[in-house]
Amino acid sequence: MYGKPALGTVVPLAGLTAAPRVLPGIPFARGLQEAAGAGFLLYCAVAVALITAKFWYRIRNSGGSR
Amino acid sequence: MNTELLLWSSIAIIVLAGCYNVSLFLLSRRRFRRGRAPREPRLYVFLLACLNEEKVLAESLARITSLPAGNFLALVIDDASDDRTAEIARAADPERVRLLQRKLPNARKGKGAALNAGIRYLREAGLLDGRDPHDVIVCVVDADGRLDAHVVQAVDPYFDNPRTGGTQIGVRMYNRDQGLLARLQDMEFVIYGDIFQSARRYIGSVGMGGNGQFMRLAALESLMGEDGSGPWSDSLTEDLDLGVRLIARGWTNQHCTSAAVSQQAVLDVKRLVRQRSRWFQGHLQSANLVPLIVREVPVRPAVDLLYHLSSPVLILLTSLLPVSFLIAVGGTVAGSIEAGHPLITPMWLIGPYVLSFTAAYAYGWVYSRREQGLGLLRAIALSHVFVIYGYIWFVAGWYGLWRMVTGQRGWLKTART
Repeated sequence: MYGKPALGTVVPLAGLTAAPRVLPGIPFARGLQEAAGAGFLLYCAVAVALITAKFWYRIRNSGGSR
Repeated sequence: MNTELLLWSSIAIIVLAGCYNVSLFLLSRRRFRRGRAPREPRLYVFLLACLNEEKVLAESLARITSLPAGNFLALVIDDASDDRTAEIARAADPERVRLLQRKLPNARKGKGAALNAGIRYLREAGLLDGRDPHDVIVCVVDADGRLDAHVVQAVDPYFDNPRTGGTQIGVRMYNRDQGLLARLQDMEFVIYGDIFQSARRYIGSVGMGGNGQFMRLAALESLMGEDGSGPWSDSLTEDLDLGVRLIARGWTNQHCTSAAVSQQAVLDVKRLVRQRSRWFQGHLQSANLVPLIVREVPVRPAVDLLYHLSSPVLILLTSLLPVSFLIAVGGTVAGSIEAGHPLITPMWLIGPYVLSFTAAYAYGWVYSRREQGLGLLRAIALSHVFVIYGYIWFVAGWYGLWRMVTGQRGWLKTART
């Protein structure tokens, strides 16, 4: 029962991609953002696999009710 | 891996959430038309699973017994309470209120187990004898739940459609005037119901909540095991689990916007995080529903349910971004002081504001329509705070994950005040 408001409310970091590396803390901040990005790529890969499986089931059951 | 790709992928999380939120907001604004069919007289059975609820139970029972509906009863399931819960149930109208007392060691196994015991009791006590399970509606109400007086009249037409398995009503906080935290929880539930649940009526993926959940007995029976187990699972979020399994069985879930149940908001941040960590952990447990969704649920609701069930992963990933942002801002401020001139451009503030707080205007508008006395401007100002309040899920998320990893599966019950 949660999540959608929270997901839509996070402070994004678009500006950080252009931030100079020499500033204190920036490499760590960038590392956190990269970790989130890597996790999201993995998430997308799993999502694509699940949706592919869903369509496979649908095609297989196409003679049925759905 | 390519650094730029990873950085932009993290931004894509926000884009995905933004697109989803906007789509559901637009969908929720469509006028929902309900099919009309001949009315059938139905029996309504209110189930209240209670563990030490003496502070709130009497008021809830008083509300239920005074409902202007003819055919209903309430079953209080006392889950081995230490307090006066059973005594309060016995003192209520005996024509309308029944009491089932569970004893240790079989009691206190979670809300799902208590509700399952309630369904078994209804059968064994003969309270449903001669009733068609299609015309018996079971409603789960929290012990602190205060149902709108017109709730049965509002919900009943949804069950005219024989495919309707469950109908969830809105949820409000009756103590929303007791401080900002209570107000924000009220806003959270209104936004969830009026935007996300309302939109899901068109997708076919309406979820069931733990309070104000009305279900057709025949639908519940279709989820029971051959050994008579169920229909509720032992998940920490048995409501989420039940809603998904109803859809997988071919039932339609509805969301009723014209009636609500009011519950007690948590007034303490620590207890709120604890409550939300339980929900988060339950959501993680619901990953075991993914194969069922892939196999049994039609494509459109399946995609939405998969997104919904995976939102804990997105929350954990997203939680890294504000931390990153704060560190970056701190570093840049320190760098500005060292350099003797500002290194932060206005875009550092304007960009995040636009991307983070645009939703606040939509949320404020939706909330102001429910809370007429608040006014649009105050509602929009409040929804800016609500955006920040959403961060509580980040803390609750990591706490819930930690509890799951360390094998803690207990029922972190939210204490009443």
